Amino acid sequence: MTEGHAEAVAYGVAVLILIVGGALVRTALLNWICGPGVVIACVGLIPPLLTARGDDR
Amino acid sequence: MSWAAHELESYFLQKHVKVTISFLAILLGCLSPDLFTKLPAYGIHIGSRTLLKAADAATWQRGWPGAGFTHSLTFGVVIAIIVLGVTRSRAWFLGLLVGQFAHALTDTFDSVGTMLFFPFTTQHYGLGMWAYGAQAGRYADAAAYYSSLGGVWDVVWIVIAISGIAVFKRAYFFDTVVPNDPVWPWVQTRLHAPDRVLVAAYRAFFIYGACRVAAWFGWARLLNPLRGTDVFDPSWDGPRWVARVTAHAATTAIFWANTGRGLALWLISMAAVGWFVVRPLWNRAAPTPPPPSEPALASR
Repeated sequence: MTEGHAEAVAYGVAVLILIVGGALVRTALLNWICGPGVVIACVGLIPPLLTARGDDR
Repeated sequence: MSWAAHELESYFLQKHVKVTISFLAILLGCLSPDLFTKLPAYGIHIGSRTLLKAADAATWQRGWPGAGFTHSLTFGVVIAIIVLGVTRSRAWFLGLLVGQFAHALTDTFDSVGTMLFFPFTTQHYGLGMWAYGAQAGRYADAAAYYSSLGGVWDVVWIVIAISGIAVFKRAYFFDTVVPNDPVWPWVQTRLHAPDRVLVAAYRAFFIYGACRVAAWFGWARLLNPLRGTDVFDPSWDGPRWVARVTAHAATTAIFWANTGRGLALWLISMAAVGWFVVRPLWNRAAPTPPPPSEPALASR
């Protein structure tokens, strides 16, 4: 998986967490700290994991 | 109050304000009026106990006595001047000013409105597009907002932000946003953040804001246990099922008298503050932000 694709997946995961998780747990997730934090965490953590898995194969 | 517009408008503003301006300052300016006023408007709930709850949410958040001054134009000028004096950054001064003004003006669309010309008048300016609902509690407010034109207003801001899609591109971030603000290179140097994390941090408030609209709409219309009675009501000043809170002047004559006095005194004061306070600080400040010290950013 290319770095660009891995980043796209990370943004997708962040969107999914925020919409589905946000509708369920509401303000625990949908606040000025956690909301943007989810995006940064996903893009920071997921691409290295995906590209490392791709390299292993 | 607007629920997501304040996060989204900062991207639109930084694109259309044709001066060197800090995106982070615009964002902070957009968030500043609600930073310390929203929580007491709803109260903090721990178990069955409610702490720090304002007796009257609308008066606390938008009125006087209360914290309504945070939603006045004067507040934006004051925090921008303080930051100009401390940081000597014109980009941050302008960003805070533009962001806070945008917030104060955006909140004039609800039924309570804002005291734009405070402290010269406590007259509220509100168009009443949707009903202010913070007095009903956080979730009732969310249900009311996303069952009214307020939620539609947030969707409009998503569309406006997406219409300028170029601002979310990596190249725009490194070519326009980073050179206007020394904070980004500082963050990268201190935290050793990779480029993709910096770009994600820049995009984060748009993604959060847009997802917040979708999530709260989903909750209000699909999951809210009271959705049977809390019906979708996109009428002006709706929804009708939430208790009406307004801050209108008693008569039209009083409104115009307050407005005339408030506007005139505000303009005179701002002219004096601009000449005697802002001008010396502005001249002392750096005309452009210092160049990025981080080679990785400077090379782009």
